[in-house]
Amino acid sequence: MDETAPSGNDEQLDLAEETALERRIRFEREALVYLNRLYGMALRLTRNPTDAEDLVQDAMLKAYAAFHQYQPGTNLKAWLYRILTNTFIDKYQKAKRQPAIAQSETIEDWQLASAESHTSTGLKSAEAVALENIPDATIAAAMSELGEDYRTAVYLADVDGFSYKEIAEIMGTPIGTVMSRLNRGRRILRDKLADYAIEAGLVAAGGER
Amino acid sequence: MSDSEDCRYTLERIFAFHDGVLPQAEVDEVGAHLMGCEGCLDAYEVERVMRAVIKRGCNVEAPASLREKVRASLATA
Repeated sequence: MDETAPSGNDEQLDLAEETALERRIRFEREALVYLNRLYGMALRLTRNPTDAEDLVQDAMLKAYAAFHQYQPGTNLKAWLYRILTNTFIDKYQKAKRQPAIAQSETIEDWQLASAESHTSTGLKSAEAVALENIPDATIAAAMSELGEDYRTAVYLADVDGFSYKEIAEIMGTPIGTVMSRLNRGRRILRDKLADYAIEAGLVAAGGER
Repeated sequence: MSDSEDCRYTLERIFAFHDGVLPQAEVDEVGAHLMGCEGCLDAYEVERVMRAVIKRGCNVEAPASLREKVRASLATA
């Protein structure tokens, strides 16, 4: 057997031995594939394409600087999302102690009151079809109006398919908090879209069946 | 349990049912109720569609220039 057989086929990389160039190549190969997803998340967070690009750029630089701390084989996508979310909080949240969250708490409370009964509000299954005809831009706009914590949780779950546990890690909150943010966020969103569907004439208002 | 209690029980679990985090015993109960209750089945269906709609509405492509910008900034980092 040849002792000089090509090495590295099993990705036994030695992080201590890795050169800066090797690390950059590895980062580009493994992390940049998530650029579209991260940009989508950044757009939901910042609600503005220019800020979203800046946020992704900043987060990618931070991730690159910390890449030697990332454990190969663990969840890289979740790791990158956590950095993106933290970068967003550092950059934008400290600036404006925003009242938006308090505002959405009050919206949710009265909506919760009617949420557990299918006879009072909501759409019928025939009308679920109407939801499918709502334009992308309207959906994105409804997402933007959600309180930030709800928006982040819903995005991570429904767009990116993260589990409750992963979302809890990314957002730095207990799983119970993730669940309640998801439930409330989705409920608010559903009601907004139902309102839109009625206004746009996609379904009849107050249709008794 | 009366019908409305069953409905409440089911509707409270619709999200967890969809997310695959409901204990099996409750999955069975919810599933059995859905088979026999049109109203709850409607709610279930709306929830299913909601997820697909959210996913569709929020799927975006990053601008092509962003990838190059990030790569350029990595090279000088």
